[in-house]
Amino acid sequence: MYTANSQQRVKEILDFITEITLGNYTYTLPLRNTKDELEQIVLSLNTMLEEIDASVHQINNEQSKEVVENVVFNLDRNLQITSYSDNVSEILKYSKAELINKPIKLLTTEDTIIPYQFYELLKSPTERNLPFRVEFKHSNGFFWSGYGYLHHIISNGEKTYSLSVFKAVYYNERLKNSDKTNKLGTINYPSEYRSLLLHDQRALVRKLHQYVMNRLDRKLKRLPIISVEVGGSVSKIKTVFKRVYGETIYAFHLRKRLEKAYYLLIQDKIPINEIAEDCGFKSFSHFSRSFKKEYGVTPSQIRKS
Amino acid sequence: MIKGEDYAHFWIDEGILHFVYKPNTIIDLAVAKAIVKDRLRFQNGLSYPILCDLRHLKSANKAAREFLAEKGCFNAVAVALVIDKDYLGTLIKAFINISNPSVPTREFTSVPEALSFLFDYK
Repeated sequence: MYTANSQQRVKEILDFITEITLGNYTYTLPLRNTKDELEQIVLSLNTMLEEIDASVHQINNEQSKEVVENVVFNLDRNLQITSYSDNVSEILKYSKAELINKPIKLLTTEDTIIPYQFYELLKSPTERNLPFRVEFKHSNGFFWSGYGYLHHIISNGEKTYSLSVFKAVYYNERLKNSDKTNKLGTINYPSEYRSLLLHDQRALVRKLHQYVMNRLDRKLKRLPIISVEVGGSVSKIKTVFKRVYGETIYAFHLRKRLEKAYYLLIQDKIPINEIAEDCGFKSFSHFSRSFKKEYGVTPSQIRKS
Repeated sequence: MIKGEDYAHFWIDEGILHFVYKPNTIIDLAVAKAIVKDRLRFQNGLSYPILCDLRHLKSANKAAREFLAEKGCFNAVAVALVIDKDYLGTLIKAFINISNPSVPTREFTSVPEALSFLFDYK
């Protein structure tokens, strides 16, 4: 029943689960072109991982910040690796022998196009060097994707290049601290945001979010009425919402309505007063004023541009 | 330039917008944006109930799901998702329960069931 191919796939999945267990949420497992049971599991795992990643950072949003991971490869004129930054072996788990003097093409996926036409670009140095999407293969078969630049390195000798790839990842201060304290034999749970670890609190926030998002075409009612409709006291819904989204329910609602209006303005051809009505603004002037306050330009200027 | 039409077919039949993803489509944020943009242009300001056939879809990432749950629901009255439960079950559950689409959204395994749900919103 099990072919060598599916055995290999099972091993990849098990390695992937190990990575998740260790708290690495930045990889995804690439899908194959079948829809058999193993691919169903892989798709579910990828989805689960994205949701875990999102909820972990929602719970700890204060302590978790986005940081940029950067890997650098120096390449010779044939785009073979001559040297690389020390974090490459840590992130992609390759040994030195697997990297030095190997073509960079071996590390990237088929979807990554190293701009060979770059040679052309070099002829016109005023041309902007645009970032392009780079997907690296982890030694276990995961993808690590980010945006990269290929720079031409100026020197006296031969032509060389430097490939620098950036990826935004979450870096969890609290997790790092708790790792340290674990070594001393104590576990410190996040205290301030502990309430958000509770399932019903997260459910309440989700319900509130849905309540607001379903009402982008009208004015929100007063807080006591919302609290009755959603369930939970006024002070509770106020604090919980602000903790997760960083702004009050009404500010969030207004921002989302203006975002909707902005989106409809640039994507759709319907008249502006209909958009204003669609986004729950009673009068056109109120809409125009709020819009200008948020985006610095009036809706009609957006339409014209 | 990514075009929404490269990833899905759509047409209107008896007041319902049919939306069928092409085989092996992977939706990321750029694709999701293109699809919604084309759909809004196509609808020309009118709202419709939407039948979305995802049976050939390969995957959709988190950013795309969040985008589709919010902006993907503009000018939609209700959305019925037709899926192959074995393959997309988890993804769609995550979409409906976590990403919170802003209009009524339900999953179905066959087109007739989905149509009868949308019939109430016509």
